[in-house]
Amino acid sequence: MKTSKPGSPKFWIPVLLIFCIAGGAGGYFFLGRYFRPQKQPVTATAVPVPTGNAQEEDLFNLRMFYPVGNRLEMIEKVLPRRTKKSAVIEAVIEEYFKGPGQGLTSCIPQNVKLLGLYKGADQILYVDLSDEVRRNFQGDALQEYLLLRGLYESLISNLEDISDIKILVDGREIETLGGHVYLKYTLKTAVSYEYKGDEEISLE
Amino acid sequence: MYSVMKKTAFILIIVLFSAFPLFAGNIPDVSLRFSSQGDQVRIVLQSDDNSINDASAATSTSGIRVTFPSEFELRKPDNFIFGIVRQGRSLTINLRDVTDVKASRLTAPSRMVFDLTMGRTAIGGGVPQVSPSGGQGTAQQSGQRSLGDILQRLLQKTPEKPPIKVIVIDPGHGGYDYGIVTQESKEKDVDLTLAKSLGAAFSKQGATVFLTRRSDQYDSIGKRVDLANAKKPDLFISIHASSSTDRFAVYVSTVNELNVDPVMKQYSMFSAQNSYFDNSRKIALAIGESLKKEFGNTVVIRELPLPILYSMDAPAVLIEYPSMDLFGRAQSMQSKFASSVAEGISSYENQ
Repeated sequence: MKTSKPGSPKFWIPVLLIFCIAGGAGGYFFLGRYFRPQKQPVTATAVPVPTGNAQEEDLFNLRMFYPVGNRLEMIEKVLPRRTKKSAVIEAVIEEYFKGPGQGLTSCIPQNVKLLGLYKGADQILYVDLSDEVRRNFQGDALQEYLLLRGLYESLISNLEDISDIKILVDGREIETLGGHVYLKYTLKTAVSYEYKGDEEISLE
Repeated sequence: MYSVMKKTAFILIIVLFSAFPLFAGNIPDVSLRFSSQGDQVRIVLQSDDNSINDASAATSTSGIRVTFPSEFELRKPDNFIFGIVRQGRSLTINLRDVTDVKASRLTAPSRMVFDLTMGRTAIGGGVPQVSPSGGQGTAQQSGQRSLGDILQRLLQKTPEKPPIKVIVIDPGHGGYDYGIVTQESKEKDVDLTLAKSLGAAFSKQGATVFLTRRSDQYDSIGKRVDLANAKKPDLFISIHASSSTDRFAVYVSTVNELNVDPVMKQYSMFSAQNSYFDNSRKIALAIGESLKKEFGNTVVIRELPLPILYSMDAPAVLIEYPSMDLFGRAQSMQSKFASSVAEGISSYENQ
């Protein structure tokens, strides 16, 4: 059998190939370790969506904050342009209760309808939702908190002249949605705290 | 042609070998040492790279939290006397019976030093001086063990905190508020069952126990808070289900973070918890450690401004149990849960 000698070009080709593969693997390992994304429980991360020819079709982007797992995920959604401010608010709320899509699971309750929107002289936006928001919510304390904070962030991020938000259900003030968070306060008060993530107990 | 290939191969080999140390770079090591003299305990965090220089630290008498610029490997002595919680880039040292914490930084090598002044119960008749920990010598290790053992013993002999005599347990939800619902069970029912088991366990230990509800009825959060505070409890525990299938969560309230309008502050549903935050956190850790030992599941501590906690005029925690269906039907799990939480409270009392 004919074998390549160390001095010949045929010998160096597989050697070079091995080093290239080793270098590539090493580089991948290095990049994966040092540029791995950090877990940020409530930090928004933009998920790119195709924007298409927004100007030609007169589209606009909404920055939505959805509860996904133990954090809020920022997702941009593209919709046909609304000119009236109330239509923008309606769009934000409707999109929010449609859920994040993209295969992400969320604790957002199903079949919630927007019954009314009112704005007080104090720039507080009153959002009147159907009772499904309470009846169809199935979550624990953290999920309830993130659900309300996500709604608050989504509205505040897309509207300029709103100072705070108050949730009503079937036209009435409610004490709580899922038995954990107090909704007699406005959302700014109830969900202003930025959840910093879990501390796992280890028995080291 | 051949000589060009040879040169190229040589350069490639040099480049690849010089790159190996980069991608083979380890997660930085952080070593933790401690030593004691009189009522002073010194904790030192040390690293050979910039991890310490770039780290930030927050201290209180109940804990030290250090956030490093990247994930790290922690090396610590086995007999370290305080609990440690690691989460990503953060390291939390849960302190007990500490009256003062002073932090400083030293260089060459870079170190972060925390000087703790221990409370009277911790020092008792005086903690014997021991050599610095973290070394390899047998004598040093023996000294470390004696420090840990003596501290533990002294803490157990002379409890600083008053005993927990009155406990209010709050079974979550109730009435038309079902909580989480599955085909098999409703959270409100399982919460009540577990609350009753826990009440029985505390009663056996000699505590006076009150439940915010004993039947399937709805009470508002405000009413529960008023009921609980009226009993002037030494401890408040709220029981809820987690949507997780395998994770316990123990919640404590946040402190002074609510952006509340001054008018809102007039209401009773505000900030009664602030002065109990440290004890609530210690209780949460004690319960969490006990649950972890008993069930082996993941146990997390969460800080959230939940009204049932921040309005309580007593140390207060909210426990979320996983696998609601299992806890609903298996009496053995209910007993295990109750004894484990009660054990956690005993361990807190004995600290």
